[in-house]
Formats: sequence, structure tokens, C-alpha cells
Amino acid sequence: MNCHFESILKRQSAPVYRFLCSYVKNPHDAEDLMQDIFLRFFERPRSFETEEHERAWFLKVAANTAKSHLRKRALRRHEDVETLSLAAEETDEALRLTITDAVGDLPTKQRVCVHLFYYENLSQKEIAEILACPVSTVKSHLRRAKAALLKSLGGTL
Amino acid sequence: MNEQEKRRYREEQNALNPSAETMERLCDAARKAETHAAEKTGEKHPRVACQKTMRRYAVACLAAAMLLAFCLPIGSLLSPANQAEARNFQDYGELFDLINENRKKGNGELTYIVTDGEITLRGEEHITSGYVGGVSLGTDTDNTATTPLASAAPEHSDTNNQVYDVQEGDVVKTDGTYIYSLKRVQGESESSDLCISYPDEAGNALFLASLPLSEIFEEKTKSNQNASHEMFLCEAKLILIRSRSREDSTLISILDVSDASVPRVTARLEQSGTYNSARLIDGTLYLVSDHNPRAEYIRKSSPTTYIPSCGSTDEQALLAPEEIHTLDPEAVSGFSYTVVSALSLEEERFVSRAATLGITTHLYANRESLYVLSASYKTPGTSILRFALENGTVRYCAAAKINGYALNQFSMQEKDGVFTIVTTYTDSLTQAQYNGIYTFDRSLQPLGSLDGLGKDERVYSVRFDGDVCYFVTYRQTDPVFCVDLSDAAAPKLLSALKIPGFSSYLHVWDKNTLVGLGRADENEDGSTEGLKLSFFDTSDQESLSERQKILFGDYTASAPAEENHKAILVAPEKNVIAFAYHQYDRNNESNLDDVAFIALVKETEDGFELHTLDFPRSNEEENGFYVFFAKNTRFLYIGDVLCVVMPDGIQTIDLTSFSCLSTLWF
Repeated sequence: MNCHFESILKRQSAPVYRFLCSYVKNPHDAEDLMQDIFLRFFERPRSFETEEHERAWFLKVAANTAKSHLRKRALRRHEDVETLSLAAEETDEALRLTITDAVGDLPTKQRVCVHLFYYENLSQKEIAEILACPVSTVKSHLRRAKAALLKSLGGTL
Repeated sequence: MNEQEKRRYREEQNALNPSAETMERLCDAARKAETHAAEKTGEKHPRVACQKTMRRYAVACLAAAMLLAFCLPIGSLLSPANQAEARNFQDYGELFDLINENRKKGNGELTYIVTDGEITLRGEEHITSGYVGGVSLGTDTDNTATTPLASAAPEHSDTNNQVYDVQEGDVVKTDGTYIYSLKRVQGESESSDLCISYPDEAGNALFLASLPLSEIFEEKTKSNQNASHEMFLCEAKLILIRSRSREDSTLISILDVSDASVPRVTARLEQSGTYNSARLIDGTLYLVSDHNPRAEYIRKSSPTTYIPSCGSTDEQALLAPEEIHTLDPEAVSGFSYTVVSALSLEEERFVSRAATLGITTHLYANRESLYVLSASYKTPGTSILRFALENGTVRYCAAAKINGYALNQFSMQEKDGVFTIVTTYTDSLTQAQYNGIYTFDRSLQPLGSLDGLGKDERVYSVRFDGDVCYFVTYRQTDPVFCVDLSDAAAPKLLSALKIPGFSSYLHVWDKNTLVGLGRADENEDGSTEGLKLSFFDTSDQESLSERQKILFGDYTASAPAEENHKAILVAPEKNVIAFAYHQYDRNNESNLDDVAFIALVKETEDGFELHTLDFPRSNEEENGFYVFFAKNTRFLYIGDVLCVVMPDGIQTIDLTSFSCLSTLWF
């Protein structure tokens, strides 16, 4: 019943999707990007030594894809200001009292580091590899994120 | 973040999942890509590869034995790959160390871990006179009237099983009185309820009872994780299987349905790994799952983190270390298992377990053997593993590796001790793609072959009929090959019929007719045009001909049965073929989804006739979901009533007139 690609898809789709959601803050975009990532992988598959290797690779590809998506979106922002603000309103309303909402309010890089560190349980070194930045940068993002979260979550819990 | 916040964040994140439609679309793409990759990566002549692999195993085993003799106090470890004997492990740590060492060294991936389990299946007599070929129900009309599972029940169909007397799982089952189906609504990631319904004497579908799956599996929270389900039916026992990808486990619930209005759970069991496939033979369920322990949790001191287990949901039993064998220790490179278990339905417990390393791609079983195929893309080729089912026992027997890839379970057959497989492979010298048919004895020693067929084409469908194998390859035209297997050492090509288009599914209708469902191909550029039903005349096997063809649907049309044999009913004893198909809605440009139809075919004096009905929908406004419903619909008959069982309802149709009798929405 299961094929090799399907097994990889089932293993990695949820982590990739959740990571993309945290990166681009829009479930529809995250779903589109996730599809692109897997379709590209099916076209040009590669092998992995271990499951950690597999996951790290997919998260890295997701990080690059999300980054490029946000860059493109910034370039055409003037075209769809209305759509974006509407989406932002919806998101705010739906997620108001959640930790995801508090994390979502963080700047992109801090948000992404928090997700990989607290949800994916990755080490700071692994996060640095995925985001292609020095470990010290990851550390400082996490430190600032923690401070910001302490402030925003302090009242809700 | 404090611990509470971390936990809440994880819970919130776990609730985020891609939509079921996206996942279904990607799963389809994955399967297609896998097939495509298989076409590209095959290298050598399969038969030669098998022999070479045997030599390579011997060398690998020797090297591994030297490595292990150095660090481990164990005795003789060596065995050739094609022998049943394999090395034992003394304890879990030894297995852990071996895999860990090899992972560090980046060694190969093909290896097997099996139990030596002589499994005694209590009180079951081995039946040697059974019809063991890969022959459909439709080939022998004497067999089709009753199934072995419900001999006293009214005449009815079973799931479209590949092998007679070997039941396959599905989302719909019937015992001839009641219909058991899984309710699922569009947009939901998984089925929600078990529904029990039945047609009355007038053919009206009536609702009897339903039971939430959360209750059946005792899961308190909504999992929201695209869990998939299958069912088996054995006398008054309904077996529900739930595959949970996140937990990497398969749940099995056994329900007593002797009073179908009050289904009652009698046992809940669990096996490591997500569900792959299963077969039900004589009251024993052979269940295969893919187990991938989460690498970050693996700890040497805790075998539960890397050894598969089976048992009741309360008490799991690990595979014992002395039961675990490996044939090719040097090549073990990761903790990824295919777990095979035998579950006695009378005792409601696992009688035995076994595991192989690697992911299973296809599984074939008859009453005497269980074959597991594992396609490998790192070292191109397919490994074959055989378990013998002898006198009520299951015994690991043999392994071999062939280069080339099999299409699906229909690519295999074992009959009279000869295992036959049809593959597509790439010739290493010319880089051209060919198709071949290979025979092996039960020790997986090569017997004969017939290859070099259909240059630059690949296999689209295969069907065995006793000593004859029909298979279809395709590039621009559709050669239907007919191969005589009566001399296993020398398979002989009887005929090759070339016609436009190709068949994706083949079914033996009667002794003189082979039915093919696939695509027409009338364009010069090779693009396909609509769907086609072909009726091949097999009365003269040395000169096959296409007696009749029925073209239907346009180029956007697609039938789920092209890829899933369980989505078609072929019942010559009732003179009916039934399946669903869908295509782009030309009458409604604003409808972005397809519209669906039910295709019903019957044989008349003038040949086969196609009748098309609109696919039933409960709500016209929801007509955007036809593809989803068409894919998840099954066809069965009880007496003279044809039942179209959808995820959200049942339509009954009169088998003679093809008129609609009733529609029931769950």
C-alpha cells in the first residue's frame, strides 16, 4: 500500500507544514509551499542516511522556500495590500488567546527559531544549519524571543 | 516559555495539519513519481542480478561475521542469502551496536531481520487443494457464489480479492446480509463512524446502527491526523484496522457482530508501525506494518525505542532478541522495519511476529506463501522475501534481490511451488528499458525467464490465470502479452497483441474473455483520449484479439479503479461490471471540480453494453466533491441488488434493469 515516497510524505508533511505556517503565518500559503516542496522532491528525489537527516533536509528546503516566498510577497506588496490585511485580521481573530498567536507576533527569525527549538526539539546547532546562520545568531534570536514571550504571555497564563 | 506554555504550544501546533485534499493529491503524486522513478533506475538483468546478489550476500555475511566475531562472542553467523538459516542476536544491544556502527559507516540499506518463528496456528488444517493461482473470483464461476467467510449467507460479492480464499482489507465489507462501511464526509481528514446498513427484500437500503471510531479504538481526543482505516470480516467478527502515522502504530479492534445491531468490541490490539497491508486466511490475519522509530528517541538502554512490538493495547511484547535474525549484517543501516505478524482471530491475540528491514512496497499472499517486496532506490532493484505458510505454521524461508521493479501485487503469483514475477528493468549495456517475466522455486532460486519484451515500454497491468500470464506494456500502443508458464524453466511467449491505448487493470471474465480497463489512444502524438474497456478474446492464446472495445469519457476522464482494484466490481456470475469515473464538467465552467458517473456494464447477445448513471449526491450544492466521493466508493451485490456504497450513503440498483431502487444517506 505504501510506497517509498508516500512514506516520506507521511513522515515529513506535518512537520514541514507546521514549520511553514510558523514562517509565513498563512495556512493557505503554507499549504501551497508544502505542495511545491514535495512535488519538487518527487521530481528530483534524493536519499537520506537517517531520519534526522531526512527531516533536517526538508526543514532546510522549507526555510529557503519560505524565505523566497516572503521576499516575493514583499516585492508585490503594493498589489495585494488588501488581501494581506484581511488575512492578518482573520488570523488575529482566530488565534487570539493561543501561544501560537504570541509566537506569531514575534519577528520572523525569532518566530522560526522558537518553532524549531520548542516544537521540533532541534538543537541550536541544528537550527543554525537549517537557517544557514551562525549558532550565536540563533542564540540571540532565542534569547530575545524568550524575553518578548515572557512579556506577552505573562498576562494570559 | 515555561513547561506549560511549551506543552500548549506543541498541542496547538499538533492541531495544524494540511488539508485532506492536499494530502490525497500529494499521495497520488508520490505514487506516480515512484512508478516513474522505478522506470528510470532499474539497471541489470534481473536474473543475473539475483545470482550476483547471492554472491554479494555471501561476501557481505563473511565480512560482517569477521567484524562481529571480533567484538561479539557469538558462534557461526554465516548463511547465504537464499537459505532460511540466518544469524541470531544474543541481545538487543548487539543489534543496536551493529546498526549504529553501520550507520556511522554509511553502509548499504538492504538487509533482513526476521524471526525464525515456527508459528503454530492452532487447529488449522492446511488445505492443499485450494485455488492458489493469482486468479480472480471471476475466473471460476463455481467459486463465486459463496465466499468461505459466510457460506450460509445469501449470494453476495466480496472485496475484489486478488487470490481466491485470501481476503484483502477494504473500507466496505458485507456478509451477504449487512453492509459495514466507514462514514467520512468531505473535508474531514479521516472516517468518523462505522455504519451498518442492509438492503431489505425490496432492495431498499436501510440503516441499522453506527458506532463512532473513537469509541471502537478508545481514543478520547480527536486525532486529526489523517488516520486511515481498513476492515476485514471473518464470520461474526469484524476487524477494524486504524493506521496512525504520528504515533507510528497500527491499532486493531475486533468487534463481535453476531448481533449486528449492537456491535461489541471484544479485543483491542496494537502493532508497531503504520499499516501497510494485511491478508485474512482461515481465521488468521497476517498484518504488515512499516515501523520507523523516531531517531531522536532511540536510546540503547531502552529497547522499546528501537525494537518493534505487538500485543494488546495494554501490554506490548517486544520481538525477543533471539528471535531476531539478519541475513546481511553489513548492510543494516537504519532502524526501519517491516513488521509481519500473525493474529489468531479466535484467540484474539498475536501468535507470532517477524520483521524485515526496509519499507515494503508490495505484498502478495496465497494460502501457502507470503511474499514481501521492497523496492530500493539507493541500490536499484527489488528485494523479495518469502514466508512459507505450511501446515498451520509460518516460517521464514528465503530472500533474493532482483534488479527491476514490479508494478503492484498483481505482478506476482505463486502456483504449484513456482513464484513468478513480472518486472520492468533497464538493460545496463544499452540503457534501454525492457520488461521480463521470471520464475523462481520456493527457495527463490531462479528457474526460468523470458525477457527483453516491450522495449522502452513499461508494465501497466498484469494478470495471472493459472499457467498463463497476461501483461500490458505501453508507450504508444498497447501490447498485450500472453505468456505460457506451464514449463517454469522456460516461459514461452504465446502472443503479443498491439492495439492503441493501454489497460491499467485486467480481470479474467470467463475462459474466453479478458477484460481490460484503461485508456484509449487515438492521437498520433501519443496523448491519451478518454477511457476504454477492452474485451480480449483469449480462446486462442496464440492469437489474442480485441473482440470489442467501449470508449467513454473525454481526455480529462479518470477512473479510480485504474489504480485501485478494490474500486471495481467484476461479477460474471451476475453479468455485471461496476465502477465510478469522473471528468471535467463541461456544462458548468464555474465548477472547478469534476463531475462523476457510475459505469455499469453487462454482456448481451450483441456483446457488452455500457450504461452510465449520474453519481448520486445528497446535496446538489456540494457537487464540488465528486472526485473524493468517486475514489472512496465501492460496489457490491447482495442477491439481485447492486449496492453503491459511498462514504456518506448507499444507493441500491436493480441488477437486471439498472434502475435505481433507493438511496440512503448516513
